[in-house]
Amino acid sequence: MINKDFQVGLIGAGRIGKMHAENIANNFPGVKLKSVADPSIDKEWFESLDIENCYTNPDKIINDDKIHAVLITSPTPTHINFIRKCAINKKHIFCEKPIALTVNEIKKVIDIVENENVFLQVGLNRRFDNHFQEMRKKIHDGSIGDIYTIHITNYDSFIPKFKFLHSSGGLLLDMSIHDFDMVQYLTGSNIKEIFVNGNVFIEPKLKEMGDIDTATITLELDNGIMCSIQNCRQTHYGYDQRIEIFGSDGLLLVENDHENLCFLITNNDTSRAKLKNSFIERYEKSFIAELNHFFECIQSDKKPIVGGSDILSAVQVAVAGQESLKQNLPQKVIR
Amino acid sequence: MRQIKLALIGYGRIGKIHADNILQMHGVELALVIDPLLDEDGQLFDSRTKTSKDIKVLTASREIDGIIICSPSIYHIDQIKTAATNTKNLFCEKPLALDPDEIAFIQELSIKQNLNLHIGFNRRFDPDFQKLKKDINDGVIGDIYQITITSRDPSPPSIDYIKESGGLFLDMTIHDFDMIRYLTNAEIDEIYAKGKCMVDPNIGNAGDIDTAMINMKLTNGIIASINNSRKAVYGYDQRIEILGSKGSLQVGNQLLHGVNKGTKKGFSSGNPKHFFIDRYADSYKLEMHNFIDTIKGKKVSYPSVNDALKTIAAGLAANKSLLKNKPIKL
Repeated sequence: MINKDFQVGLIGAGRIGKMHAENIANNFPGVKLKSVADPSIDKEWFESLDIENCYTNPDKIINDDKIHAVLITSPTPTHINFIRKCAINKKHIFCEKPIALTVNEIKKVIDIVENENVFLQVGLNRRFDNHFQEMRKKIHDGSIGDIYTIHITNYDSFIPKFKFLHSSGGLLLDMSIHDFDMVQYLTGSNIKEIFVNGNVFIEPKLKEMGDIDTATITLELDNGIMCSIQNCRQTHYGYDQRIEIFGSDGLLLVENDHENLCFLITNNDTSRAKLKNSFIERYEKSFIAELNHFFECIQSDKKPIVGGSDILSAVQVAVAGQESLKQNLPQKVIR
Repeated sequence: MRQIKLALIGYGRIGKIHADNILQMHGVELALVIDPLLDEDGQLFDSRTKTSKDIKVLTASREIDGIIICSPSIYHIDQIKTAATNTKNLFCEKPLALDPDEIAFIQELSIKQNLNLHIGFNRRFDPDFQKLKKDINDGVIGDIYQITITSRDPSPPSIDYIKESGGLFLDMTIHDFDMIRYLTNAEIDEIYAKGKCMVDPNIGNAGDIDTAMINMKLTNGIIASINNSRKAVYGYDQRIEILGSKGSLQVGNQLLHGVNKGTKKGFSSGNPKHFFIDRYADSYKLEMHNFIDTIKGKKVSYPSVNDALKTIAAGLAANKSLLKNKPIKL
C-alpha cells in the first residue's frame, strides 16, 4: 500500500506528538518517521523509537529533501509559521487543530497550501472514530427520519495545566471546536447561529483571561436543526464523550467507553470503572485511522477529506461564540 | 383515629389518578367528587363517596379535611376561592394559573387565610429524583456546575388542548423549570430559549412550538439546560443529568421491560415507558401522602404557590426570549 521509502518528520513532541510518532512506528511499516524536532526532547522516549534524527531546530526537517510529509503537533501559536514553511518546501502537511486562532490566519494558510499544491489534513480526529462514522451512516440511511435536535457532551477528565490553557485559544477554540466540526460533519449543514452560556468553576485564573471552563452552547444550523453542546474541563470520572441525535423516527446515541468491562455487584451497589481517561485512550483507533487516511491520500494523490476549509468553518463558529460570550447575546456566524 | 375526608374537583384524566390512589389509602376517605360531566352514581367510587355536578355543594359540606382541584386550569382560581371557604387544606394541579397576577392574588389569599395550598409538581416526589436530591444535598458530587433535563412526550396532545395550554413552555417545560429549582435550591436568573415547530405544522398554526432548547443561568452561577419535544416515537423520555465538582449524577429512563435480546441481527432491549402516568405512578401516590401528612399537622415541605409563581415567570420569560431571540432576565 505505502512505499517503503516514504519518509515523514514530526514537529513538536509533546503529548499528542509522541502519540502520533508511536502510532507511525507501530502501525505503518511502510512509513519511516525520519526526524523529530522539539525544543526539549524527551531523550529516553526518543531512543525507544527507531528515529534517525532529533533536532531542536524544526527547519532541519522542513529543509530535508528526503522528507515527503510533516506532522505539526507543536503548540497552536507556532502552527501557522511551520505550515507556511512546509508548504513552500513542498511537504504535505498534517497539522493538529485548530491550526491557527484567527480566521484571517487560517485563510492565509489555506491560500499558501493551495498555491504550493500540497495537501493539508487537519487533526479533527473524531471524524475518523468508527462509532461516530456509524452514527453518520445511520443518519444518512434515514434510520431516525428527519433530525430535530443534536446534543453533544464533551467533558475532559482533568483540567490541563494553566500554561496549556493560556496558549490553547480558550475553551471554544480548543475544546468546543471538535463539537462544532462534529455537528457539521454529521449533518452536512453549517452552523448559522451560536449562543454561549459559560462560567468559571474550576480555574479562577481563567476569568482574568476572559476564558471559561464550563459551557452550555445553543446552536442553530442552516437547515434549521437545533443543537446543544455541553463542555467542561474536568469531570474526575473520566473523559465523557457522548452524542445524541433526536429525530422524527427515533433517537441515535453514542455512549461512553469505560476503562474496562468489569462490574462489581455487592450487597451495597453495582459499581464499575471510570470512563477512559483521555482522548488518547478513547479515540485511539481514530488517530491511527486519520494518519492512514493522510498517508493514503498522499500515495494516491487524493485530497484528504478534512482540511483547511473544515477547520476554518469550525473556527468561524468559535469566534462567533467568543463574541456571544462577551455580549451575552446569540451571534450569527460570519462566513 | 378519625378518617381524613377528602373532596376532589374535576374527574378527568389526572382526577381519576388521584381518586384511585386515595381509594387505596388507609385512614383516608374520598368523601366527595365534583365534576359537571359526572353521572351522579356513587358506584364509580366507594359506597361512602358522594358525587355532585356543582361545586356549590362544598359550602354545605361539613367535615371535609382537604380538597383536591384537578379541573382545567382556567377554573383553578375561582375554585380555590370557593374551596378555601370550606377548608384551608388545598391541593391544586399545575399550572395553578397562566397569569402571574392571578397567581399573586392566590398567594395573597393563601397568606391571609393561612392556606395549606399544595401545587401538583408531582415529579418532586418521584423516588429516582428524590434519591438524586438526597445525593446532591449529601454533597456526593460537590458543587453543581451544570444540570440538564431531557423531557420528551411520546406524542403531542390534541390541537384543542394545545390552544388552551398556554404553550409548550407553560404547559410542559414548567415541570422542568420546577425540577431545576428544586434540585439546585437556586432560582432561574436568565433564560435563552430556542424553539420551533418541527413535529406537526398544525401545532405551529395554533401558534405554538413542539421542539425546544432552553439555556439558563441560575442565581448561584449554575448553568442549566432543558431539551423538550412533544413527540419522541420511542416513548416518554425523562432524564436528568448533573455535573458537579466531584462527579456526575444521572437519572435515566424507566423501561417497559427488562429483557435484553441478542440475535444474529444484534441486541435489543425495552423502550422507555410510554405514558407519564406509568412513569410517574409512584410520584402521584407520594405527593398525595405528603398532602395528607400536612392535613394531619406534620411539618413537611411541599410545592407551594411561590413555586407556581416562579415557574410561570420562567415560562413567560422563555416565551419572550423565543420571540426576541435573546436571553431574558427574570
